[in-house]
Amino acid sequence: MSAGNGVVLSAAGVSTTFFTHGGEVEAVRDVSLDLRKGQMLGLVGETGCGKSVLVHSLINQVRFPGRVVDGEVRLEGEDLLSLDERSLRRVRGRKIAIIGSNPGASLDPLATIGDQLGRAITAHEKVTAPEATARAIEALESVGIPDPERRKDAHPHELSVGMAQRVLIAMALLHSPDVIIADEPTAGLDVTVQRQVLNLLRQLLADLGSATMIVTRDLGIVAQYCDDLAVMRNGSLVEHTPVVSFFDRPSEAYSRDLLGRVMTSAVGESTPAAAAPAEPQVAEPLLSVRDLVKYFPVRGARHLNVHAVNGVSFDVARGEALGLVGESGSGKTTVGRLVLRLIEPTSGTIDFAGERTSEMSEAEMRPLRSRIQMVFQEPHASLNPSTSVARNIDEPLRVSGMGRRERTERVREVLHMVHLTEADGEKFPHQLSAGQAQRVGIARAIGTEPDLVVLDEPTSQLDIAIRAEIIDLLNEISGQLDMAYLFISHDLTAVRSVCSRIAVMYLGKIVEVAPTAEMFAGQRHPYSKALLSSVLYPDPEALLPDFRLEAEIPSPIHLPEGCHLHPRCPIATPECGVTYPPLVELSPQRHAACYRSDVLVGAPAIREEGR
Amino acid sequence: MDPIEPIDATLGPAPLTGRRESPFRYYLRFVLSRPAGIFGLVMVSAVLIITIIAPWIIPYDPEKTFPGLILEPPSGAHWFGTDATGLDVFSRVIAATRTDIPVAFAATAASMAIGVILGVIAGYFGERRGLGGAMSEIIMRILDIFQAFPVFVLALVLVAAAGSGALNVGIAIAFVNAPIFARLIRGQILGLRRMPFVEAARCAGGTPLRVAFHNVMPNVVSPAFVQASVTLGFAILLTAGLSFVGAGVPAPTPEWGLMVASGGRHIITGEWWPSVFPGLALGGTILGFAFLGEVMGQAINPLERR
Repeated sequence: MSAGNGVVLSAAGVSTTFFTHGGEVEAVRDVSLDLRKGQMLGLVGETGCGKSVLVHSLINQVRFPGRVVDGEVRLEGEDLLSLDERSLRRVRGRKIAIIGSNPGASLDPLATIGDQLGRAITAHEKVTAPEATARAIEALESVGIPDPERRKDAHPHELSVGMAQRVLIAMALLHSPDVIIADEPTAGLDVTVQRQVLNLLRQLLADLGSATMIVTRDLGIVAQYCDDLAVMRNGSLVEHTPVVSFFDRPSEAYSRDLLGRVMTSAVGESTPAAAAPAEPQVAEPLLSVRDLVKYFPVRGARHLNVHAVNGVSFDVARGEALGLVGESGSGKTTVGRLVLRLIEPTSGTIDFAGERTSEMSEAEMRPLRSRIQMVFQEPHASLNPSTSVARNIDEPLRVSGMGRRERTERVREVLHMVHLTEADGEKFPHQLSAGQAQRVGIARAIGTEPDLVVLDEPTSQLDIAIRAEIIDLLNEISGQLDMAYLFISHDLTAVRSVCSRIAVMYLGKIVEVAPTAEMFAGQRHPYSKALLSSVLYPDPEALLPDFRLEAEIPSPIHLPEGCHLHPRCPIATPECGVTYPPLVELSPQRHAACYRSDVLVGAPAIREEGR
Repeated sequence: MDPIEPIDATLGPAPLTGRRESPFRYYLRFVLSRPAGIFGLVMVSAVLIITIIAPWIIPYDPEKTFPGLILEPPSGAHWFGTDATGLDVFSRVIAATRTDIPVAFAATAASMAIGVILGVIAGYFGERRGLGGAMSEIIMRILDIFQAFPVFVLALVLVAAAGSGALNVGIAIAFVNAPIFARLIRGQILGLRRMPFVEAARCAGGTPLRVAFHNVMPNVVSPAFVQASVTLGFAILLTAGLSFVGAGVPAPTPEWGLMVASGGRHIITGEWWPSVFPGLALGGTILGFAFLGEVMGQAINPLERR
């Protein structure tokens, strides 16, 4: 695939091996790829497939026990793999720039961002200090950081993640590099911010004409932003094609498999198994939350509180799956923990199966615990590392006082339900993959046949393909057992295929509730609309509605006056800044808290310009 | 939160199917990979074996005097010579293991038990409001008071108050070492307390005590065992030290500190053997435990793991 038009960087037969105590690990095997001027290549693959090692290999910066053993990487006729460290320094940062993930850790915590940008400039160019500062301000401005004159004196911890990521982008683009490699540039960002960052990146690259590679696990990013796609598996490139033809007909079996699994879960072809349109009016709801409030005191500041949850009310019917969706800082996880009584509410009531759990003591609550279970976000950290899988699953059963023989039988049963074997039960958590560990977490939660399972971001730390498996499993189980789910997630696509109703949260309040299908058909609150507009479908033909929020979620310590969203909202009126809009019923089962919800009806989806 | 990348990128895509070696084999391999570890392991094993077989390898009764043989230098009959009362130094050095080692082990075990229990309570309930939090605070402040005194002085005071003898020495040593275990365990528990698996244990419906001791504690015992190895060395030193100043085991009992003290006054006149041999035994034993503890401490550090 070499010598094509506009090829800027060309890697041929790159192989990287790690020489560890445990033997040789071939992390990258015979990878060849080209980056073209003005084009964006998406490199996808699951965790551990060698993506990051390939990135390091391309800039000849593989860390110690590893070494590039074969191949060449040509940039402007020079083979980077044969250059010495001195010449490499000349290339790195100036001709090839890297945008890392985890912006918080990539910036020097002790220096102001202006100084860090200045240093990056003076590393390659002889400029005076004032000149460097001026350039730094310019760079900050170009990535859309408001008030760059003042922000240049900020330290990294004063920036939000989104802002820090913008600084990293500014730093990478300082010397107008020929090649830019972005390693998971939006990992850890909320979807609305992810959209902002990716749009910015695309626009800047269009101006510069650099060749770009985005490393990601998200096929949605690839479909919407990239021109070409490379799929990596076990260190080898299994596919390298234009994006459009990939999504049409992936040629490799693995790619087909990957895409197939992603599509069914992401686009939501499968209908929720708990599809029986829940009718909460019929009987008393299983869980009823009213005006729930939770403030956390701010350490060291006597009168300041983090307003995590600011008056939330909702019902969950028996057997229903309710999705609670919002970005980080929306208070959704706090609601889950309050429902489980892991923390005490500041005010408001929680009724579970007719009992007022919010007023129970810890001891009174204990017998009820077997009826409300939880699945956690971090698959491994939620399992007790010192006991076997079977013992982990056994723990709630044992506490609930079940007999030994019955318990053994039950553990075996739930292991099968989550598609694990009895041999897996003998293992210890560290021997499991993330997907398996999450299955164990689910098995533990359903062991006592609870009435309600709170799923706290059960898929957010998993690879896409595994995510789809877990979603399928959750649907399968809810079909077998009569359980209600409270599915907490920032991932709308995950919620879509499991839940029959969705509640959207923003800054501690529910802004919109609607049955899933209706919610996806059209949103009646600008925040839901922005959130759904930010979902990147793994389909290059999908329309990207252009409904964006400005800036980022404000601090929950100082909530905005009036509607919490109004400072970011594109359709806000002066009234929105005065009083918080009530959650009103727009149609049966459909509520929204917005003065202008009528404006949103029928707003057409607009295809974004440029690619 | 960021998705968790493989912690050690150098390991690459590690196969998840491979069984990790058993902890015992891991520790053994680690200890044997370092000179200090080999020395520690050899010394500790030798001392323990000698302790067990002491009655069968001593040539003479350690408390039987040879009236005609006062301060005899080392010879074929008396390998380490005899002391001022005509006792066989070799027999006494060997027999002393049966005083020092059991006292040290029992005291360390007791201090570990006390320390771990206090540490789990202080850690699991620490920095919280309510009864548990108050209890935790009280425990920690009492430990502060104990740790404010030098260990040796505190042990001396305790023995002086309760009377000398092996049992009281052991109790005193257990007492002064317990805060070390308590602090160690508390720190570990504080680190683990916010882990989701602890919340999962609460969701299972366990009482706070069950969660603390049944679910959390097993995850922090290995550092305690490493600390025990170091503490054992100090416990031996403390037993010997108390006896050396006359506050420990009473006179005819074979005990290293006692022997160093009573033999020390003859060094000036050239009779070095009654004090140097027990001193070497004492020093070697403590060094062995200290080295072994040090290397074990490295072994449980996850950053050292390969």
